[in-house]
Amino acid sequence: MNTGAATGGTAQVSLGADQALFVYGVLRVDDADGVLRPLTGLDGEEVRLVRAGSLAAAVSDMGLDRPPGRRAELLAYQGVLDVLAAAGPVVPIRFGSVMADEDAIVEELLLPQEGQLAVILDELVGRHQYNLRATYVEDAVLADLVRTEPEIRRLRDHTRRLPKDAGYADRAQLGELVFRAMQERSAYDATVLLDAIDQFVVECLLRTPPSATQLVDAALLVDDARSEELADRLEDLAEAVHDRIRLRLVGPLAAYDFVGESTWD
Amino acid sequence: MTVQTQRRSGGGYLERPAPSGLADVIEIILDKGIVIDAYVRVSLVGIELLTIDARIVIASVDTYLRFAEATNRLDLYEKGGKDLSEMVHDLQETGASGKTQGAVEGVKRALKGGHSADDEDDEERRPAKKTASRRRAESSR
Repeated sequence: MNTGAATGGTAQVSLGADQALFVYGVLRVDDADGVLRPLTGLDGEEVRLVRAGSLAAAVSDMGLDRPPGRRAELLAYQGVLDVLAAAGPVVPIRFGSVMADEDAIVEELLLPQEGQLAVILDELVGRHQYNLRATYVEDAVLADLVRTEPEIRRLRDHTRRLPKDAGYADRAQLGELVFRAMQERSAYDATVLLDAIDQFVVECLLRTPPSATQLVDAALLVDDARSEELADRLEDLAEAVHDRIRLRLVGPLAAYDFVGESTWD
Repeated sequence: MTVQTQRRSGGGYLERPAPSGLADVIEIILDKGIVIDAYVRVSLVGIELLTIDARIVIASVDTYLRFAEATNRLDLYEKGGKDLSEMVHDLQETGASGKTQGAVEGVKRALKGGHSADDEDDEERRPAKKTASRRRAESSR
């Protein structure tokens, strides 16, 4: 396969070979010993470490003539990072990153970026990412809006009595009012929820902004020592608001959202 | 992640799924992690990803009509009516070390975090499919 064909805009360099190394992430060499074996990565290849200075990159062999884009690869990538993250801090390298050989990893990744990568890794010691999502139980929120917003109640009562294909403009107006009201409520409720867990969280990033139906989609960086308190707190919150909001917590994960985008800037 | 911390007994309102499906994994890893562009980057992202991405819909008249329909379909029941911050406050009164919430700080955080807010009319829709699996996910480990 020509690597240029499948990438959709990523800058390409010709490898001039049909074999390369898939890169999962970078960890501290001190954490690396004994972590890996046996660990299987993409295409069933064994994951191994390329070391340089204080760092090690987790890689596996990959043939470049392979078909692209299967679920197995995504799952394998995340599975490897799960194992690495459980052992210590790891900087995930974005999915799909391939380097020519071990020399390239040492000379172009580990040594030139050692300082910055080490800083990020130190920040992540004893911490993991958790993804939190909060979604509305739509009917409960709608009922609340009908109860509390006179104009929504009026339009609802009005359009309900009309035949199904009548009152198009009124229906659109009702829907818009409801949509806007839910957006507003969502932005407000998001701050309430996030403030309620603020003390257990090192850093919080919104992955997507609050929307009409989903108040929170956030990545939380959490000290391992506080993760249980966070979960307990969220359990209490989830119970208190369960008739209108559902909370979902995924983790511990590698700190995908807290390593920045690039080592260059 | 495969490791699930053992929850205390009781509760179970908080969903704690292990991300095992393709959609979960994509959501976690897509566009995340350090990009290094000095070397070849092979895209392994194929057709399956495109189908997941199709979740985003533009808020339009169609969206409004959907909300209107949902509102009209409701069987109203009289209940509750408490503001969320009141509920959280009540919880903190009864529970451990409370912390008063500052909405302003929260807004600042919201502005700083995550993706661009885009057009306010853009809205991410997700199918409501989680309720059934909630208890199971909680009790399975």
